Amino acid sequence: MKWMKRQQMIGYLFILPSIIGVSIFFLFPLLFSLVLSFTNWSGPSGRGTEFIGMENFQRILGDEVFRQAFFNNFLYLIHVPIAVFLGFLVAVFLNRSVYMKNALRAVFFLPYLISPIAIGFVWMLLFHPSEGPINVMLMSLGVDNPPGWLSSTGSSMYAIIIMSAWQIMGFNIIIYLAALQGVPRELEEACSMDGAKKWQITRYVTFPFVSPITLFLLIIGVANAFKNFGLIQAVTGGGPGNSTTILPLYVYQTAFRYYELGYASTIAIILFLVIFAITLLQWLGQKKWVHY
Amino acid sequence: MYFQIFGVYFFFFVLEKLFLLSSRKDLYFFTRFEKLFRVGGSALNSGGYRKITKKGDVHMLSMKKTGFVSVLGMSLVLTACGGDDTGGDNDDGVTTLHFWGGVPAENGPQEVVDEWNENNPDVQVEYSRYVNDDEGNMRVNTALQTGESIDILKSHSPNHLEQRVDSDFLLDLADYAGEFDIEGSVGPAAERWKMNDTYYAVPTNTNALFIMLNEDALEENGLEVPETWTWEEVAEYANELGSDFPYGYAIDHDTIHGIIQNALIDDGFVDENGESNLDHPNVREGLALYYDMMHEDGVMPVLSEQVATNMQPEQMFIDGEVGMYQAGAWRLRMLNDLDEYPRDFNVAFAPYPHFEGQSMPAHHVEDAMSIVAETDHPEEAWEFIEWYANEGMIHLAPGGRVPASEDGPAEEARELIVEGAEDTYNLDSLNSVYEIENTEMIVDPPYQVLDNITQELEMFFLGNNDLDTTIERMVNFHNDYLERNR
Repeated sequence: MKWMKRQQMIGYLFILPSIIGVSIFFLFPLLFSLVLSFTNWSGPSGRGTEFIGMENFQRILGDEVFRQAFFNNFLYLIHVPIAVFLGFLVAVFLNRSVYMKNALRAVFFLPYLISPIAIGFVWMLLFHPSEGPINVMLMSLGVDNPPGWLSSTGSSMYAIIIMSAWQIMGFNIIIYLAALQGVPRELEEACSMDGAKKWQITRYVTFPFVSPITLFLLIIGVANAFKNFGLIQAVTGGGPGNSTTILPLYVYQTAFRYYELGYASTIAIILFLVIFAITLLQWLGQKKWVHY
Repeated sequence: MYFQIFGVYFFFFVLEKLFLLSSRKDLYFFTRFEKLFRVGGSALNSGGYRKITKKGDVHMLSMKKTGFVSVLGMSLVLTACGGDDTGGDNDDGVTTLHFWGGVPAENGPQEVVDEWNENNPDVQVEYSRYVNDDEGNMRVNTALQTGESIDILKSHSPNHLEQRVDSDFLLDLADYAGEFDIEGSVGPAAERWKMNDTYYAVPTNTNALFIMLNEDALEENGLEVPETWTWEEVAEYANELGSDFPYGYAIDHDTIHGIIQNALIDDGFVDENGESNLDHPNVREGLALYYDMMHEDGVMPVLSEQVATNMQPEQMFIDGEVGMYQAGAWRLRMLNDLDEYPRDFNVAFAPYPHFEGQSMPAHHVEDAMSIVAETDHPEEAWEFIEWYANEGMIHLAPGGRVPASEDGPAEEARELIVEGAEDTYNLDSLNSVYEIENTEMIVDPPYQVLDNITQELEMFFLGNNDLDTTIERMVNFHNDYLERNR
């Protein structure tokens, strides 16, 4: 018994450095922001900060910008399944013998490497309401009133969704391509011997085989959709009106433009709970469709 | 510091001994440990795991491992203690002042600092530029908070200054200014920077506000260069010019709230009851006027479209696509550069418009210099600031900056701001813009209110909300804000 304890001690000593690291850089800030969410900390140095109980949480209930950012964020989430689905199709396509396979792979992955700011500017040109190639094409196809894209509140979020899906698709393709190498060829061949069509093989053999990767990409994508706002910041800054403001952008503005750090922490805590809940749902839902 | 090193070293020393002296039972631990490492790892030597279960090997291993841990720990401690700053004093008695500002060094500040350094060998100033956006200002605040050596700071917006004053980052200049009377020499416009009834910063730069006019087009249409004018007249001019240009009138999209600041110039954002003044008749009039100019007359770019397409009104003005461009002296640098931005017309200047019966907006005084509270050399810092405001400023004139202090070389600077393109301007009109009277200072609302106004205006100019709804929503938000911060 005694030496067992000592063994455990030694084990703990070994993981001590990383425990210290995690506590300082992860646990402490997390708990600190939880504490902050009950204070009225404002200003860079937080002079005169007091505990104000649940006031921040009450304020959130009546905060229209928060409400809008919350719903926008869920709308924005749509780009994740789109990018995962398209990424899967492109990866399956690239995995077959395709002409210029490597070059195409690089082309699809490039957007993921480019800074969101640069991407934003290119898309702003493409989405130009009257002279942009997208609307010119739509008009030549006979659409009389093409959407204003970034310049109208109704369509701005969809423009952002298209940009985001386009950007993260490259990452999804690379991950799927790696996963597809693990799908046994024999199985596919056996299926085609039995008379399965190509899409049937993809749907009933390939897709179930890579379903853990799909789950992984969905979880990562959703978590990122609640964290990254660089593209939105660069392209619309949350506008027009508040039509493209999402929660992380609102947290950033509240904290580092208005210096209402107490209130920003409150929003961040809600944000954390939302991500946690969604991830939990995905985790529970996986039993239905993920095969290991 | 030596004590810390010793303490940490001792910790690792004990750790090492623990392993070396441990009995045979340790083998159990190490074999498991090794297993952990090998699972999933490369199977280069799958028999290795069995080999190291021999006692001798294990000892070799533990010594190597813990030795490595000790070195790692040592290096961590050393780097942690290595960041000591040596302060502003060098051994040879030269004081170094660190001066942070948002203007790029090559646009003047470097020349100012060079001139000072040449004449003051005992007090050397080093200039660092920060980017004047939300993120850049956050970095400045973090630097101030963590006591990084900054002695002199230039703030570019009263909102930022207020945050810094509230956090006690800056010194009250009343204790240092001595004979330099800030309000006396800068004039009433300085009040924009007054906080808690005193000054924590000296505004150094008069940033003239004006509307640039395409003079050739005015002449063709038989229009005079106005010496004062109301918003109604601006709309009339825009409509006249609208036939010659895609847009008769344009502004930078991020100054859209200017019309509201202008509307409330005499009555302020908050009325005597402490309620929002955003439902003032002038606000209504100004917004309706802009709306008509955008949608009815089509002589002004629609706000959201301007934002979404990244429209550059200054470039469009130079290219002859905009007849009147509302801007300020900061744009003169671009217009002076005829090689890079060639244009084939002369530019005249009209003052910022005002509402019927209301005051004219005073030119902004900006670039406010402060002494940082943490500095060891407040007197030297003040000396530099005073010299900068009165004499050094001349080096910034080519960027459109005219000294705000009346002891500064304003006349000379006003010649320098147009240098290189004097012949392409109507200089009389520029001078009369600088000498406008009956002015009142504009008020800067807090960022929360400002951003809300911008968002509501975007919705309004898009046609999503009508004027009444827009005003109601702005007033509600403002009142909520006032309530919260009462």
